[in-house]
Amino acid sequence: MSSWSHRHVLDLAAFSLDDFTTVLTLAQRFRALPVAGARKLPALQGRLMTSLFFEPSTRTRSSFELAAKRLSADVQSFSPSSSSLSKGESLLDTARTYVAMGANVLVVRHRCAGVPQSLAADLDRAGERVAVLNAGDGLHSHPSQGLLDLFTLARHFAPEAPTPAALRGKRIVIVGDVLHSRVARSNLWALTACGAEVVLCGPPTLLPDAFADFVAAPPPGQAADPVVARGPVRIERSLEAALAGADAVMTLRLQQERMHQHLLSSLDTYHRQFGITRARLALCGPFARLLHPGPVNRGVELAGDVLDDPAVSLVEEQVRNGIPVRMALLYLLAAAEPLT
Amino acid sequence: MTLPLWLHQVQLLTGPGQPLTSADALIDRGGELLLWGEEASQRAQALGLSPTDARSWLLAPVLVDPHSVLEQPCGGRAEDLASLAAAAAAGGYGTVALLPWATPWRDRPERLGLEWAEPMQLLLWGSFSLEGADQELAPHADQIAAGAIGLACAEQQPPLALLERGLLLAEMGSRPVLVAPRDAGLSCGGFVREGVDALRAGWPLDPELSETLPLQSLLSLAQARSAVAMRLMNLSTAAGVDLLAQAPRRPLASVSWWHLLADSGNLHPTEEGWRLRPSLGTPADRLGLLAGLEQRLLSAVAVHHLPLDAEEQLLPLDQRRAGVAGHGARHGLVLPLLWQELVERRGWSVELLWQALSWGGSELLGLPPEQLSQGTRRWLLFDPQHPWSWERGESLSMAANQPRLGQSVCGAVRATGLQPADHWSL
Repeated sequence: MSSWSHRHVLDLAAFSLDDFTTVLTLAQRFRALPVAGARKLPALQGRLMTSLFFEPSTRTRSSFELAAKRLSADVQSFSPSSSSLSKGESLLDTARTYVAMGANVLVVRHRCAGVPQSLAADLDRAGERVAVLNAGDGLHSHPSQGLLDLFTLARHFAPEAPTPAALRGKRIVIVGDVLHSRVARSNLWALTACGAEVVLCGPPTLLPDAFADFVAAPPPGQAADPVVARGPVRIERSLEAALAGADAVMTLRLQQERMHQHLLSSLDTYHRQFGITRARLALCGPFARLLHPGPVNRGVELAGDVLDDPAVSLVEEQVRNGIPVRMALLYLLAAAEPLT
Repeated sequence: MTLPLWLHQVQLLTGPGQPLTSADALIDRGGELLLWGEEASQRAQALGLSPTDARSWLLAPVLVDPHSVLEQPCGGRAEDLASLAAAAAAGGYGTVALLPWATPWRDRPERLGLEWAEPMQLLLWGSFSLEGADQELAPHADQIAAGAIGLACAEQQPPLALLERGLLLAEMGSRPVLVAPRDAGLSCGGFVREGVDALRAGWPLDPELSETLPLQSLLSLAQARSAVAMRLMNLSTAAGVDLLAQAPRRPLASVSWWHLLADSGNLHPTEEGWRLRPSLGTPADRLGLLAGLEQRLLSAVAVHHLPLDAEEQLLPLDQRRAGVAGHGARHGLVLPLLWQELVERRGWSVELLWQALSWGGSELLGLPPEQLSQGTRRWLLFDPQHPWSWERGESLSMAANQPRLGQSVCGAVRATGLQPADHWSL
């Protein structure tokens, strides 16, 4: 854990292989703790985690709050509807208010890409000793989801030692609305860093060709790629071709509003072309598993029977793994900070 | 009596078609350019003046901004008439033409009464449609009679039926009609051009078709209504430049200065300047625009100053109005940054830069090109090597959306005849 140098967690594009190893190793330790009885660790006692969710969320926020509580941190939540944002207060003003209350970690979600980065930069400039943890910003990034997906896959491939090495050479297929998915973007950085081959599959309106070059260079503002050799990324328009020999399939939620944006002709057609069914899963490798960040549109991205089958679906495992992964992130960001 | 300023061996650019030369120049402290050449040298010696070593400085005509925005000339929180005049003058801009995008919209003669004191020149575009709503034509002839430099549309192309009828009526005579080749419907709410950098940054994408499809219509219309002087506002894509190159009848076109400097591959995610209309382009778009300007397919660089106040600037990017400020820095920003990009980095000649920043703007507005003449105050003195730090305190504009703040800049407008001598930094 000595190599960890991140003051904030904003984008997995900035993670080195060591960073992924650190998070997964720590998450595995937290995962091994008993879930019944005295479950709390005192690691973050006296620290305050504030969730600033400017976009509605139940699952992610609950997962973060539970993670913080299991590390004995204090937890505070911000709800825009009861805030003073409507009175013209800026995001930075809001953040600084909570920092003044003693927040050590701000877990931020916003519908606009770049907001957590801007907040982190502004708070750094202001000399505030607070960590910003991106819980999803626009279409840009969802680091904790990307990490919990990685952890879930690593545990599937190497249950005893779920490290990035477990992903090397594996073929992971991501199916669906990649364009509008911050989860897919985080998955791309995480999976390729670990040496996995990523196959993207979807219609051209939801998966532009340029995604084939997604990890070929770091994102704007980042000078260099911290990963020396990434796994390849390719695009397949045929789901059958994409699934052939796959080791895992990650499907993405399809928002109903895509219909109104003329990006699809019908949900039925989408399901026929890109929906995951048991027959299609049979095209994958023998131990392939299915992931989905949730919530699932049954009968659109996935057939219900596949989702409910614990022999192939890792969806509940993803939710379960979200807690130790978020514990790891909170611990890495807050445990080393001196108490104020 | 205050003695004149003797610039010794300054780089001198007097006007279009004239080569860059090295000569002495004499400038009155009241701002008038008295003499240049051998005569200036002789007069200076006769007066016993001390020379100012100006070998690395450039003396040239003022710059021309063919379109910018000032919504509230009186009492504006983002900018007002006085602050814009001061900011433009400091940057060497002697002419600024304001779009009708204002509150209230400048779409009728009684709203076209703004002026600046000489030697600054404030020009006003009239509006093509009433209130810029693209429903009805504004009174074209009346606006022209009231002094409008031409007619401008709103931020996107008006309905073709409205545009075609207005051009057929031709009440604007030979005055220019400025149209934005943009279809907001095709932008789908995106604000960065499609490309892998925008995908990585997670910005909503704006396809280049939102520019090229309306541009094709406009080019056809320009050919069909060739008696009218159509102008294209803020071309922003390489594909748009290609279309323009192929057009049998090519309207004059502008490009905004920021599109020549920033793209989705070179801008830090937290920097000012992502939210533009038309959208910020890809690195390939920027190269296409630079090539188009160099080949004079694009005629002029517009500042397209669109100031936001501090409150608006607090909003997240997707909720903020699009646009950046360009007038503002005490030593100018557009000229120093474009000098570095075009002259220093890409080897452009000074004449070509002035074609883009001054003479091309005049041509787009239907004005004669700026040139130096005896007694003129419409000159600027530029030092390309002067380093300075661009801080908020250096701004003469009230705009909060100033790009490159906090960064160091090389190159400064040291003096202009547009400002009193006590504003000069010599």
